[in-house]
Amino acid sequence: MTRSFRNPARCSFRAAATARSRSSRGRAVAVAGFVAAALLVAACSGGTGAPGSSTAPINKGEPIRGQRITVLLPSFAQIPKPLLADFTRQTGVDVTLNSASFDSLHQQLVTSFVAGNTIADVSEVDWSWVGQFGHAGWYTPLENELPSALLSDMQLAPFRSNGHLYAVPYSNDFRMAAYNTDAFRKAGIAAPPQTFDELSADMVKLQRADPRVFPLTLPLSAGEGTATQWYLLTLAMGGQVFDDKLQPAFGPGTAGEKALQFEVDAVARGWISRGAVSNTNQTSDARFTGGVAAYIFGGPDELVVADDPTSSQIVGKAQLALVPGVSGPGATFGLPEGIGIPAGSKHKAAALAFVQWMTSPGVVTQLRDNLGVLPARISVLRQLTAAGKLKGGPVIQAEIPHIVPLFPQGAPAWYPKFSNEAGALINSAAKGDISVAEALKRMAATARRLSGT
Amino acid sequence: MTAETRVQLPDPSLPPDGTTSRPQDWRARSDRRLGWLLVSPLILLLLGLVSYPLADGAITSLWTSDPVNGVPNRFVGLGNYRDVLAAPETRAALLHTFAYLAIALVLEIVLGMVFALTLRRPFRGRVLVFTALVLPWALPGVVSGLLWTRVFDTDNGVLNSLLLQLHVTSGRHAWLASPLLSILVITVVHVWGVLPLTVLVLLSGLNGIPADLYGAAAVDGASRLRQFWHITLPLLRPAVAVALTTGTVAALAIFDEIYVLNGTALSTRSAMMQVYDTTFRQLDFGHGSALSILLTVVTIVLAAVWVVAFRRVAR
Repeated sequence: MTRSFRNPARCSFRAAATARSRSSRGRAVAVAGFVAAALLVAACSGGTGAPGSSTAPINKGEPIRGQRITVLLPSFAQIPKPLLADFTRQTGVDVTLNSASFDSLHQQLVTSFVAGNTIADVSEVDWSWVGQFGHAGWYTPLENELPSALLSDMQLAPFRSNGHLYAVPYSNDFRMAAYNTDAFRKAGIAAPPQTFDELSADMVKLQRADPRVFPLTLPLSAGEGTATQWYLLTLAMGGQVFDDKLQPAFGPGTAGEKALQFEVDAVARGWISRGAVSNTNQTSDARFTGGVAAYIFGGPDELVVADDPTSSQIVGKAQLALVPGVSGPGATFGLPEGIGIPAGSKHKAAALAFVQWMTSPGVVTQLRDNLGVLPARISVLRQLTAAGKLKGGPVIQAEIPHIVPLFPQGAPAWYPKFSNEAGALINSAAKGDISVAEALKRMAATARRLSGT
Repeated sequence: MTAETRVQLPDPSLPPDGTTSRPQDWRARSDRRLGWLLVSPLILLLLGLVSYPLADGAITSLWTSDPVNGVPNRFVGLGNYRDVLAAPETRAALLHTFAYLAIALVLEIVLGMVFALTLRRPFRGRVLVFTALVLPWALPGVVSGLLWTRVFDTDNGVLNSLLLQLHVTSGRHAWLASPLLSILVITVVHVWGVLPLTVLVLLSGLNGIPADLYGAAAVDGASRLRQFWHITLPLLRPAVAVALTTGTVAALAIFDEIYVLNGTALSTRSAMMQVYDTTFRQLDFGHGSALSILLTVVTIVLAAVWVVAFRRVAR
């Protein structure tokens, strides 16, 4: 009969312990159920995969009046509302214009495509995304959808991949050179350099003439802009980044090696600030327009920015120049901004009408007036130059024949991965963390790994 | 109103059917139901915004993913985890992240303690100091990174100008050119943003310590240092555990400050940047998810270590 003599306090402790144990079990069951439910919901949902999209031809006869399309563009290309209203008046198509910072656009688009969604009927397509987007089938081929008069009036090579055209440019951009005439005059230099030998000699003169002004500025931070600058120097020095089979063409003794050595030496010799290892394209531009650096490789709009009194210290002192080369002006390449139609768009005919409208001569001229973007239509560029309405027009026109495609056969799908790694390795070489040879070796290994060779 | 016409209100402690058997049981059941009802929106929110993405990430991490080439996803089990742990760039990123973590936690706890002890006592302008202290916490990482670029800029930065004016250095330093220095600089910027939270946590812990203990210790002749060592520190341990946990979570997720100050440089790339790079730049969702799940596990383990270790010592 020991049960009746149990210590009541002990009994209540046991009861409490049992209750706690039950409560703990309950909590554990609840947590397990919670986790199981989450796993079940996640497992039953779509997951990652290619979008269920169609690349069938666009039905141009489809009535589009009354439709609404969504257009996603970077913040620097926001079309003014009155101009958009013109499109709606002409076509009866309403437009929702969304903007995002350029840096976040790629991520937004990729995330939506991988999830099987389409966040826009017309979107920005940077030349560097073309291989990746085209290969994945995320965009509608346009080579048979647009009039030949339009296509023959543009530089389309950067937007072709696997034999298809995935976007058309609305903004024309290519690499040129720009220099501070004041700094050059003080250094006793009469004309901008035509070759890299002349450029090196001029750098020394500029350095001696005014130690407060750096002769050169380059982006050298770990980023896309840094890789792009090296590609330009490689092409300008007479080389290629990749050969016809997309194999690395920047081994020992090549223009690619000389180009990277030029950048590393420029830091070592003090032609560029040592702080340039943190320079992006924007901060490099700011050094030029701030009067801190005398020479830059930039876009045709460099002159517009340099002459803007609200942001520039060198108003009226900048001039454009041809990219130097080995024995005369060198090659350069285009970095245009384009627009394309995602394959999952539900209003492709209306989207196509928008693409045609946005790339029409009248609209590209108005975009230049309102946003400052260089027209992508060659005929419009000629007209503006002839009318004297384009700053640096004659030099811009002289540079255009030197433009060569970075990838004659179209950008490979793995290009964004490569350029990301290349930017980081060039940055490491500029800092002195690794040698030029090591950087190039690792870049080549990355290219081979990505291309599967 | 007469007594006869008065409405007899039910006793809230009784069940609605009027039975009087075991009212406590009915009440407990009712309370439980109400509790579940009240927390159900939160449970749904957690299920949707935390558990679902986490579970989806865990599942994705077990599969290959190559959306660009349109290759069907293939189950690889823990293969993605093995790959990311073997990759030199992941190892480097993890090493950098643990460096950020170690330096950040030391700075946050030491400086946090100094600020909290200072702000514990009332003084003129205390509110202003509080406001100034909390401000960096309110700033997004990108904004504080941009502000600090003006400090550490080689040619126009405040720090170099100051050092030159004070004749501490003869030339301008490229603060972000050296791997070790750049990790230190980035950690300082990170700590600047997290420190206010640490101070607030430690300050709330300090305010919870009864003043009587210090009075009694003073009567016994204990010095300020002995009071700090034998009263403040032991009783502050739970708050330190919270501060260490929040500091760990913030340091393991470090991204914005690095990206703004040094881009995706190999010498300062953090694990979270490696996740971003793998997932969104390389579009390798399998390996990216594996690395993010690993980071989540590390965060949970470290947070548990701080809580268990400091709770045990406090007891």
